[in-house]
Amino acid sequence: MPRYFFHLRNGETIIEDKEGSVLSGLESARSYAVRAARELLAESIKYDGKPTPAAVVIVDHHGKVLLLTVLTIDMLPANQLGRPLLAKRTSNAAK
Amino acid sequence: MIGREGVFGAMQAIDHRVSLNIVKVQVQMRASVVDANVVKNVADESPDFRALIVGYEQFFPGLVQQHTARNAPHSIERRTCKWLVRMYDLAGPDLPVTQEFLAQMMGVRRTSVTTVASQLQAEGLISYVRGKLHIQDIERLQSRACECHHAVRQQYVEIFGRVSTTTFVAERGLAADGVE
Repeated sequence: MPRYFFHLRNGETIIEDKEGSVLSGLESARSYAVRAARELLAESIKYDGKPTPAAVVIVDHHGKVLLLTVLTIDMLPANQLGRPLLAKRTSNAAK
Repeated sequence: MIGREGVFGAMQAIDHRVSLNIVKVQVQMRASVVDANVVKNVADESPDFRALIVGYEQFFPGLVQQHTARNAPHSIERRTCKWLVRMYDLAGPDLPVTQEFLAQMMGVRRTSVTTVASQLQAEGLISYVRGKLHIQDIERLQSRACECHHAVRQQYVEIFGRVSTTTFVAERGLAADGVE
């Protein structure tokens, strides 16, 4: 079974995974990365809000990048939301 | 986790001889393997020896409860520091542990341990090279750990009236009394 490495990327900083994990295939590696990303995000939300890695990079044993799991918490300016959500909710409540 | 302050299977030896656990040796150290009959015979003859075994049997579940109860409210970073402090107490500053092992012990994903280990390494608290972890600054590591390790050490002192760890000795100004 192949060994996959899960590097963590935050901007220009890369935390290298030197151990790797033996998994059955790319699909397992993908789900591993998603679960890892969830835990990293949850930890950041629950505790000190330290910057979490922006992405989990899945790499094979040759160092070839296979997949990227991007971690995001988005905050958009109100004028980019596309429609006036609050106003709509108010009008629903009025009905 | 059991180290130079403890024993595994002694209670089973003097009692009903059923062991429900599988124990894995993680760090290469010196240990004694004693035949169950010998343990029982000595325990039958020596109330002090029996009291030690019973005492550890009281301490160990307390330790497990402390770690379990505090798993949820403490961050992975503080828990990692706590485990490293505990391992330092049990085995010294050089720990042949993988991040996978640390992650399994804490019930978290390896990537979370990777993040924490990289941070601790950047700050000079530990150094980590492929499965070999060295604790460089135990005092700062302790200050970063959750308070569980204090509670556990305190419980040990309450039961045995002495300590077996160098760090705790330094903290409390107590006399070292290694349990071999």
